Amino acid sequence: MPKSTRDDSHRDTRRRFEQWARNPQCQANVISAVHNIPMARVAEQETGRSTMGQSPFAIARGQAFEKSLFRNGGRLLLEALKRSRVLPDEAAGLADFRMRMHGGTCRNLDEALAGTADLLRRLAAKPGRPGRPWLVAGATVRIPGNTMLPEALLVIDALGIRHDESPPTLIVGEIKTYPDRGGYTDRQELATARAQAGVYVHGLDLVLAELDLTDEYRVARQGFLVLTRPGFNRPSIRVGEDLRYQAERAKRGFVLLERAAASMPGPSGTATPDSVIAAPISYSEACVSFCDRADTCRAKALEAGCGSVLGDDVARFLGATTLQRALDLLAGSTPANAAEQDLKRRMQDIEGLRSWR
Amino acid sequence: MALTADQVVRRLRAFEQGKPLPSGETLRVQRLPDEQILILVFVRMGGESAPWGIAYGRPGRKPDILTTPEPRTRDAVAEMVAQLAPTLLTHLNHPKYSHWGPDPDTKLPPFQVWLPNRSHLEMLHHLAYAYTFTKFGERSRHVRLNQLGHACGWLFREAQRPGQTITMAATDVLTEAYTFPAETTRQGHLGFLLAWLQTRGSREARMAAAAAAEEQSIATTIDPTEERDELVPGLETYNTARAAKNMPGMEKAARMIRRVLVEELGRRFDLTERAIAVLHADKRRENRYLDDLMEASLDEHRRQFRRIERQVDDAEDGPAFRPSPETDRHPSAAASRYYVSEASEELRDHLLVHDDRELQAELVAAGEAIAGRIVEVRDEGEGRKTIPVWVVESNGALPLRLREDSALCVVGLPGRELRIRNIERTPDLRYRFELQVTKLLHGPHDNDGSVLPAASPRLKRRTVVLVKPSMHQIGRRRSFLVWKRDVPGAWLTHRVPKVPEVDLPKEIGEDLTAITVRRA
Amino acid sequence: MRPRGTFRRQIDVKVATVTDRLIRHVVDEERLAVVQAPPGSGKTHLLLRAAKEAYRARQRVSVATQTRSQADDICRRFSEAGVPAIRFVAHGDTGAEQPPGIDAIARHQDLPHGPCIAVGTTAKWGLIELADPFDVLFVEEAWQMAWADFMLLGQVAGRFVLIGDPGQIAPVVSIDASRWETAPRAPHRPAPELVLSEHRKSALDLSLPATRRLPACTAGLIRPFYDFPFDAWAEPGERLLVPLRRVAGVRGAVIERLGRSSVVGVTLPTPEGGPPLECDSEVAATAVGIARGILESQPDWVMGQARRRLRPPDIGLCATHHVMNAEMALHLDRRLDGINIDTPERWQGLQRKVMIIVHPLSGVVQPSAFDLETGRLCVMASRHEIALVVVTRNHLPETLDSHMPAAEQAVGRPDVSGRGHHQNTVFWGALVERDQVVEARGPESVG
Ligand code: SF4
Repeated sequence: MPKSTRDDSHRDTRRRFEQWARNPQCQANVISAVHNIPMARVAEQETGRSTMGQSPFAIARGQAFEKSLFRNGGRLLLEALKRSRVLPDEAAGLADFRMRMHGGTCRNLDEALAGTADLLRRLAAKPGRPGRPWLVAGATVRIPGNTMLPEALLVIDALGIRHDESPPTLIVGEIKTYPDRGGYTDRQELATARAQAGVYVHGLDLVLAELDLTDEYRVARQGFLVLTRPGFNRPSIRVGEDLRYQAERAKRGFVLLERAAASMPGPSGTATPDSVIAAPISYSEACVSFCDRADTCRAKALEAGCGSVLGDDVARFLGATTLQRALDLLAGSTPANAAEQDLKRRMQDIEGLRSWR
Repeated sequence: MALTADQVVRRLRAFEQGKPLPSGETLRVQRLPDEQILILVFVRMGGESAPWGIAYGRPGRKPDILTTPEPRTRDAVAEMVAQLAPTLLTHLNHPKYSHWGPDPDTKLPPFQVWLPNRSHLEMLHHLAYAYTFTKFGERSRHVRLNQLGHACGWLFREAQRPGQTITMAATDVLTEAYTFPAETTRQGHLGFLLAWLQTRGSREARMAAAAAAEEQSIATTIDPTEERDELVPGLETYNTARAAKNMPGMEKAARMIRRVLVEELGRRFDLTERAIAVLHADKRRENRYLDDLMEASLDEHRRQFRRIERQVDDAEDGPAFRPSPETDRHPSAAASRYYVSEASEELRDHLLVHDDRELQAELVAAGEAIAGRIVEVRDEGEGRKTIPVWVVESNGALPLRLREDSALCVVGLPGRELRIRNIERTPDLRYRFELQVTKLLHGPHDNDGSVLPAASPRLKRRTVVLVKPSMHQIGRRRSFLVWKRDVPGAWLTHRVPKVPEVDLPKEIGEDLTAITVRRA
Repeated sequence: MRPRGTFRRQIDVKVATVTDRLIRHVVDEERLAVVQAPPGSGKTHLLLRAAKEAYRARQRVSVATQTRSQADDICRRFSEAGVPAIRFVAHGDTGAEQPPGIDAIARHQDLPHGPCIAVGTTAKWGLIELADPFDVLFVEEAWQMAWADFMLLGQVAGRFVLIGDPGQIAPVVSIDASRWETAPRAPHRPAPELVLSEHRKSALDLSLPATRRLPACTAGLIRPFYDFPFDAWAEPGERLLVPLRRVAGVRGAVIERLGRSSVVGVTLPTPEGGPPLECDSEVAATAVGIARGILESQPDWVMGQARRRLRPPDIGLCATHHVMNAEMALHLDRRLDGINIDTPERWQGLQRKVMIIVHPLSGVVQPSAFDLETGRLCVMASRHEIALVVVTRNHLPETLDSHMPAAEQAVGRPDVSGRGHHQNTVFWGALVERDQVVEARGPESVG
């Protein structure tokens, strides 16, 4: 079982970006994501109770799976990627920028960051160099700008490089331990994986520009997922994952986040759990699945009469009208505006049918 | 699936009353005797797809419980799962296990398999992946595991078929039978739903009880704190003892682990029993067309499970092969099952509605049916030929998905079919439909006089509900026809694709060449 | 500026080439052709020509359409062209009146054994067991046909021509199709998609080069909805509304902008209490007010050499919600008699000189994946020959900007939500960029 070792993983910002994207309307969520104040900490301070966290077995399984993929120069993953035609048959060689504690070679993220940049530069300078790696583990890039405080670092699970294309193509891959069940694979989990992969694609675009290497590489808009086969200890590769719009989403997201970060008072490190608690919230059904404050926020939303406590479909149906007001309208109150008028009509049409029966 | 406007308003009403409200005039699930029900629940280790423990049994009886201390040991899990096989396969009337023998024409009594929620259904899918084609371990065991894998795969696939009556995820059954005043996401928790249903008192009291129930996992996974505090130490002890070949140490640790798993499984089993009891206590009657749906399910069971396990090809339903747990790679199989699914949806949607006025209201609200009044009846026939035409007016503010030429039938008299000839708006913005009666013009053969001929002027001013007639036979027919591959365009429409091996390794893929050869 | 006429000649040449190649392909008894067509590009015309030539070459020709009205329409056009054809109808429909030269037959056993053209729906063709197959099958609106339905057409003929518009509303899948998402032949996907993914190299893969219906600016605007390039047959600025009278205010601003480009957006402020979701009276009144304003300016419509006074029947109104259409109908008066109002589904295949549409996302502040799908917007934005006015609440750009679409599609499938969001953003962004958006204060400002 992994002991909780202090490491650099908190600096990896992709989870924070994804956390933000799950509910960008919530100011508290924005502060938490931008200032790296974990919601679990906020929830603990708020309620005095600790949240459950992740399954220790699942964490161990994830680490073991990833290690198995990159063991022996990434043999297992390279073979799987070749069989799936992500990489050509000639592909060989792994550049490993993972942390040592995860089976890699880097001591910290700064080393990974420098190593990644150096690799990209070297490959661009000498494209035909023998022994060049076709697979990179833990490629690390820093997003320019002030999107996340104090910095926006991304660690890319697996990066394929197709040297047989001109210019060489970088193909982003995301490793997940959940089972690949074809069309039944969990759609929300997939959405998260793609969103993260989209962030990498956009991050790579930015970093290549910063390194003045934009013309030396092409960042593929299709990526791959590495999942597990249910019942077997083997990876299952899904290719051709459409990342075009997720990369665009990331681009737009970074702009919005940067704007949000700029509008927040105080420099990095000044926000506290109290700042998150004090910020306005916007509860939605999605909160249940990702935010540790969901129970508290639901209670507040209920008090405020937000339709979202009955789910997103109800919220969408009611628009800005509160639950109590909707029930009043159903009971016969006169609508105060066009939105209420429309809502009342929609509800009455349906209730009319019920009374008809 | 997004809620319909009707479901939203019902949820608002449930919120207003502070408790779940019954949905539907009738119940859409059959309440079978306990002997015809098998409850099946699983737990698994976080991050793993194999079961760690299984509980199964009849409602009202103590469940049988299987566990293994280390679920990451493939052999141990296979051994445990193999022990489930006889009970499950007997319950599913596998030809080799059934009390009723292997004869496919034997009429079997209805049966159900109940699971707490969808995550347990997913476990059936995992088991199908792991065992349908496995050759791992000793032969008699893997033969049994293959049978079980196919059984789990069939149960999982059947669960997705609209209107099926065999695989029951308790949360799905309850959310169909009642409207709960809560987010859809939270309604996958069986304890949450039961707390809403069984707590007495105010909205706040029920809400608090539901939120408390939600704290304990009922999915196949176990709460991380429980894993951390109880199971991690047990497992560490077990693995240390195993490495040291310390048998007593292993047994002791295994008992520790089993105690936790038994408790976890027991809770899930109890909740499922309670869900069944809730339905038994419901005062509503069962929809009288459920029998037809059960027949359809048993027919599917006969064709898609028993027949395949007996290795008998079917001229209409395709050759006998165990389908891949993932997908239907054979084009005819894919299209055929797709059509069966469409036909099943058609049957469910157009059958139950005849005995449930709330379902009728939902269809009208969705624009799929007409509730109105007959304002004119005329006979356009000449001589002895009768061509009854009705003019029906209905609420024009509702959406309308029906078009000219759509076929409809009369609720309560499904044999009487009509075709929309014209749709107009009246000056007061009502819909005005001109409909020609096309079937059952005079009434049924055994008409006791209660059914008026379609051209009878006495029908004027009567209210009618018109819904679409079921076209499920067409879907069924298509599902048969699509297997016919000796056709001129087969080079394009029926060519079996060359699927790279990587797409589905042998252990989870059906043998495409064999299917094609059998078919030819 | 390109020389007037040259460009159009190039398009004519391309269309002629596509037509010749398709005819040769069919007459030479080649096995498979797929034709992608932008809206209003003459695809049915192409189908009729190729089918006629195949018939002339003494082939037995079958045509499958996706709806009965499409089949009727094709028969009517064969009749007008003096080409005899058979309308292969459902049992019970044999009595329906047919145009001259068209025979209705319901039993497949009664279909002629010699050269002929028989037109029926995919549903009809798919349910019979033909003893005597046809030589070739043309499929109209093929992108609206699911693969499973196409499989059943394998018994109709051994050669296929699939023609359609990939941007239209896709076939409705009401059941959970998760099991088949990763199937090599997913039964619920549009048939031409699967055919092209596997046979692109061996098939005759054609696309019609230009929309004839739409003005040049519109073609540019809806091009992002398509995966293949196309142009407009119309020259920029050649299709016009020429008003005789000046009208003031917002309506004047709309008409003035329509003089610059074929598409104009009109926004209404989003009310404090949020916009109405379905039935937005103000938006309905605004849409009708714009129609009235356009008519009050007494414009002539000009299309190339043709010039006529614009009349109410030349105008169409469209919203996705039925109640919204009903609401717009309430605002019509006698002077507007003849304006047709309907949903996008019903507008498919039809056209008007001027269309006024309510943007499908107007009022939708929390769009779902379904809301973002652009099939309906694409249909709505491609029905006009001269001018399109898109009316919406002004929350639209902000809603699009702050929305983060989740890619929840099955493994390996395209990100339709993201694509829909992108297309919607590009569509509206282009109007803003071209200064083609008019801000109205309320319906009263439109009159
Ligand atoms: S749970 Fe609360 S804090 Fe967390 S995202 Fe939702 S509204 Fe914001």
